[in-house]
Amino acid sequence: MKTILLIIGQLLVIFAHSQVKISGAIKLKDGEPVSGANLFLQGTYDGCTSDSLGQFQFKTEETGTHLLVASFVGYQTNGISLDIKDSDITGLSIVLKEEASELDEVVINAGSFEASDKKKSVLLKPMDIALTAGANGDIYGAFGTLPGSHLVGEEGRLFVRGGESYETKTFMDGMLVNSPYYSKTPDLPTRGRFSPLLFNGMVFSTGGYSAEYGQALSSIVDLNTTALEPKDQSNISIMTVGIQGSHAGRWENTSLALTGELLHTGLSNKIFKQNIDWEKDPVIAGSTLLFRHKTSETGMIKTLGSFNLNSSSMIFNNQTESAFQKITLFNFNSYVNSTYNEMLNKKWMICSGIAFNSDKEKINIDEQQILTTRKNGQLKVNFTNFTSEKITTKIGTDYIFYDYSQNILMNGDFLLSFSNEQFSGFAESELKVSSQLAFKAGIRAEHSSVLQQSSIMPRLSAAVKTGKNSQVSLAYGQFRQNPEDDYLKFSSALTPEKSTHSILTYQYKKDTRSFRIEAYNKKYSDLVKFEDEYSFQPENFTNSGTGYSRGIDVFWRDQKPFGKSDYWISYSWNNSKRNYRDFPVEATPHYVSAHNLSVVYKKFFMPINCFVSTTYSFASGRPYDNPNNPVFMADKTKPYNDISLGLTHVLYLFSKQTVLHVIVNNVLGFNNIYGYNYNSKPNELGVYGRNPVTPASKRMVVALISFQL
Amino acid sequence: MKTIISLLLVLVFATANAAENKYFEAMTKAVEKQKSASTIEAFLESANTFERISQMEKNEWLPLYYAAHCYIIISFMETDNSKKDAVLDKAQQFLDKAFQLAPGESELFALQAFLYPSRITVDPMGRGMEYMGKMNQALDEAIRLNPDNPRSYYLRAITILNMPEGFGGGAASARPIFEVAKQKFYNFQPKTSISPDWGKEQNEMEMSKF
Repeated sequence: MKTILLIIGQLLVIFAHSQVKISGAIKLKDGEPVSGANLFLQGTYDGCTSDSLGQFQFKTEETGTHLLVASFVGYQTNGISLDIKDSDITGLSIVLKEEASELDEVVINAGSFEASDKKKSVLLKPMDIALTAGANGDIYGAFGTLPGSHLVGEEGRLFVRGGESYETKTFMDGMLVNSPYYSKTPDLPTRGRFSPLLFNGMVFSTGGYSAEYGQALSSIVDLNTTALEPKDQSNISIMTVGIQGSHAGRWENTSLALTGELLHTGLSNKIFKQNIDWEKDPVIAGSTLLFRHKTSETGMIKTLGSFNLNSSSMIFNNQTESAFQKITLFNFNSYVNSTYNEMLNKKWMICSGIAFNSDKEKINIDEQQILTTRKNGQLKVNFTNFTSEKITTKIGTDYIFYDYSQNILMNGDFLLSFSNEQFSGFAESELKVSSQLAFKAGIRAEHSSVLQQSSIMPRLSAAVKTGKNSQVSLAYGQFRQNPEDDYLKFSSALTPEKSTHSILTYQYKKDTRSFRIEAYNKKYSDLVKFEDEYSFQPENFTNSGTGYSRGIDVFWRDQKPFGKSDYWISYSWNNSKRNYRDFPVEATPHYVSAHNLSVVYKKFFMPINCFVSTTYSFASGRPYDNPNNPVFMADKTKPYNDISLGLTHVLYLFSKQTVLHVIVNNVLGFNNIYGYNYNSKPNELGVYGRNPVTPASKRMVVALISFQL
Repeated sequence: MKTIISLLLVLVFATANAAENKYFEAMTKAVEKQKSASTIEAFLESANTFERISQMEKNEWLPLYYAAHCYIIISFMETDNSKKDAVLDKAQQFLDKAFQLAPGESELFALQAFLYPSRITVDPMGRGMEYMGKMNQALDEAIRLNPDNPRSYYLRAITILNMPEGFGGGAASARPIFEVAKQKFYNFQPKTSISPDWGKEQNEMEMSKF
């Protein structure tokens, strides 16, 4: 009985326990009060919100040891332990620290430009790439407006920091794309095979890239394909240069999309006067299939299959041979890649892939024919370890086989071919010492069967925060790339060409503004050198070529929110010289312009529902060799200028979303000259005649109307 | 003795009941308070209250729902673009937890659809397309799970109203959906007195502008 009474008594005591007041102030490290913070005793209902002076006060009936938790959006949750007895607790002082957001974390980014929807630290979005005027919806065209790339109008490929176009390699979801551009005819630009709309993340690295990437001397482009299609939808686009259609289907964890296109420039070539005598207008037909399947929260299988063929025929004024030639081009390309990425457990992630590429190119020059076949396949597996929060380690291996064969029917029947098996492995660790300081060290090893050579390449980088909104980043790396097919087909007694990059970057990003300046120094060695480009004598080719490239790249962007302006300015200065190929002395190659400037301006005009994008591009004169001038490569073209315009208007036709898109290149009609082709023999006065290399047409206008079905 | 035992039993039940009542009482008070909130500070205070309740009642999705709702409203009221995302991240955290407790709840999908347009306001050019798609998906799901949830229709109507006419938006396209929402609001009975029950006044206010 007594016990029971005692229990009841105790219970009553608990219910009747007197209230205790808890009060204090909450502030930031610099003493500024925090208003609106949530303060409560963990595991109870008791708590309150701090007032405008950071003061808080609440009552509780709890006793004993309790944790007083303080939380506020954007700040690290903090807690203090309280021993509550029967007297009030007053004068508490709690300090909150800012949460380390992605923007405040140091990011190793020397050399690289990234466009992403997900990451906040990037300077560009994939939409920026798709809608840049002058790029004509081409990924490489858009990257051409970024610092580090040279304007080389007659090529349409990327030339990065004094490097040739072959020194840039393209990867899709980490897998090599061996022929990312359409086949090209002499002196006319080509473009990328893949639409920018396929990708939701793109990295354009102008140097110092990770040990995961090999076989690229200057630069890499890594494209990340989109995940699941959002919903069932169909789309059809009619252009002045052809027709495109797509259909996407979406199931719960799977999506399938099919696109097809047929491009024909016949109509457009009739309207806009061509400097080219087309025998048969360029035609491109292609199709892409995308399959995506989500295997788990973190797992994804992505497969992309694509094929396309392009053909054209023209009368080419071959100045060197002093002859008009009929050049007919036919190219068939197919590419398949499939990747699988998943978190195996909390510590390990797997990224694996398989890819095949086949490219057949037939070029007829009058009665002569060159038939080139390239086939390659790739297997790749990477593992990333997240055991420690501070250290991320990636290891991987990669196998590529490559078959090249060229059949030349030109005063005889010649067959040139080689096969290569490339084995690579890499390991790379990133150490985040703090949110202010990070290091990355990697090593890559490669072996080539055709060259019978192995090489080891170190890659190092680091980044340190220099302020809340700024950071300095450094990178050093050695890079190797097998000699181009055009030399390997004649000789396998060569070694991989080599470049060494050193890069220093400063970046400032605050709110809408970003600024970036980068200085680099690149050294080339083991470049292929020869007496005669088409010699069957293996000893004709050596690796005695050398060169250097140094320069400064500047990028500024101010992106005001919706309706206001958004622009970026990119400027590059480059100084480079090489003694390679058949150069008699060290000289600046023809594709290098010392100064490159792009100004891209975008604005959405609400009243007319129109998105306008303009690009101004400038490149200083490029060197060319004038045989009338005894000094090699001493002449320069006049500077290049271009203003391009893009207009996008979205409207509803028959209650379906419709997009009208018009692009105009070279609005002001600058007469640009890319270089000169000289006769191989002088005329009777002892002068070598020449012919300028110019764009196919002075202006280009393409209009597109796209319906969502 | 018997009296004492029954007294003891009553006390034990009372304690058990009290715990449940405490939740209900706290929620009722908090929901009332949220209804009268009109400033960022007031919504923050409400959000804090719901957060405190949520960390006590780990199996209830409603406190999480209301906390997320407060933060979404705050994000719309916040004029500093750089803070919006942090606020929305917080709202999303509550929503994610709530989805784990009640994966088939139409109200949660509707609230998710209410969050996305706020993400768009941070970077309309870059995010518009993606989040518009996500929002429509969430609304479709909300309607599929409960065709009588009036908030799904109200949110769809308000989005269409705010879209430029050229994009298929505008008053004319939005009006019929507001009408549907009005009808659904009229017929709607919340499951309990603390279940989501907002939007009717806003819907009528928007309609009165026509």
